[in-house]
Amino acid sequence: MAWAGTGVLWTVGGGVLASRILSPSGAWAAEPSRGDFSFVQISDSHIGFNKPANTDVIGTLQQAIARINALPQAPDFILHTGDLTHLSEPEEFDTLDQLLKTAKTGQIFFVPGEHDVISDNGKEYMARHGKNTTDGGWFSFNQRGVHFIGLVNVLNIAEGGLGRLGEEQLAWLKDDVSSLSSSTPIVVFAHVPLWAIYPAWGWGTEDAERALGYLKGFGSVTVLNGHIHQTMKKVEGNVTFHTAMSTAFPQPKPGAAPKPGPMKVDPAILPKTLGITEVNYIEGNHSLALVDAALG
Amino acid sequence: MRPLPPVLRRLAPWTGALLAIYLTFNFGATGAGSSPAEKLTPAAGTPETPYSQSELVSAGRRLFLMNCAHCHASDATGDEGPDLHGVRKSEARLAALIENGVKGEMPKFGAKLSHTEVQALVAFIRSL
Repeated sequence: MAWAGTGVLWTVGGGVLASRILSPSGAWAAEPSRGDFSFVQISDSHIGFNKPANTDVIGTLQQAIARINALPQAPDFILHTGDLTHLSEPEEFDTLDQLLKTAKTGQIFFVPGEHDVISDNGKEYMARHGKNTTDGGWFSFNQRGVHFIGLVNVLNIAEGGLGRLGEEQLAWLKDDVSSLSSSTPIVVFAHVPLWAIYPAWGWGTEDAERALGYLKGFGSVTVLNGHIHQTMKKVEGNVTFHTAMSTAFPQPKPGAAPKPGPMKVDPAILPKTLGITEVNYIEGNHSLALVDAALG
Repeated sequence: MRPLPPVLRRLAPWTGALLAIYLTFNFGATGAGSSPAEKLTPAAGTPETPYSQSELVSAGRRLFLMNCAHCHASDATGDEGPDLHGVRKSEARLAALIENGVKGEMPKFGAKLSHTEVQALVAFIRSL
């Protein structure tokens, strides 16, 4: 099968936060890491999915991991932005865990997607990935001066499919950032986009504006999401929004189909639906440079 | 009018705030999912489902939008999952499918939804 898996490599160094989709050719792998540290974002593995849009989601995740392992410098960690599984079955979580054990990285952080909590409100997910999080599954950590915040916006999905953070999590977020210097770079990651990409398809988070309000005072905020299975970017003031591709299957562009869902494309075309994205954030003047290019 | 039990009262259109509270899952407080206490069981001596059909359909619609629309589409015309209009399965079969899922195809909701909530979903599907 043609390449379908992908990931986003993020580097942080010298005040510059940069990202690029891992390329199938390994071109990125040939370049040295430019940052003081780097991490990879992968998303929407949907282990257990078996429809025509991709009957080998294990294989494509393995390819994504191979790309990560081919990097000249192993990423310090991986962020998985949700939908690890398709039906939140224990065996699907098992499979994902086994696959990710082959990734050469220091640590893997997770936030759940709606598919990870769909049948049991997240019991299985939390048993596996909730050990170092709050009771609600959200958490934060620091990495060399950058503050990372993992949010959960899939446990209280609103009518119409919009994500929702909820009062408890919003209060926690407000407190979590209250003691940080305004110069601290912030990276927020959650499954459903925290900006209203296409509310008619549930591609947004109902109360994200309140969360972002707590981050207004910071000079550099980067928001990483999954869910929509395609790369999209937006810059709004001090905030850079970015969504990652899936390692499993693409979805239609917003409004380009009657409804969202797995999109079957010719395997030969599939790489062309994926792309290379570079995001360069210049701390201080808050400028952001975005570059997209197709993989195939 | 007979007062609605908690689960359906929360799902009534005029109590949207309560619906949000009910559906907000607190891992720390409950471990996961609906606690047994939240599972509604009809009182002794009452019919199996002591709610009107319209009450069940209304509650079922909301449950559908929260749990099922992602795969069956918000209008239930199908997407990754099948179109649910005009399904010919018996109510018992539909309830079993919702509770037990379909391996590799559909999640099982038996650990998440109460018996009455499953009945409400069945009523909604039947109303399509």
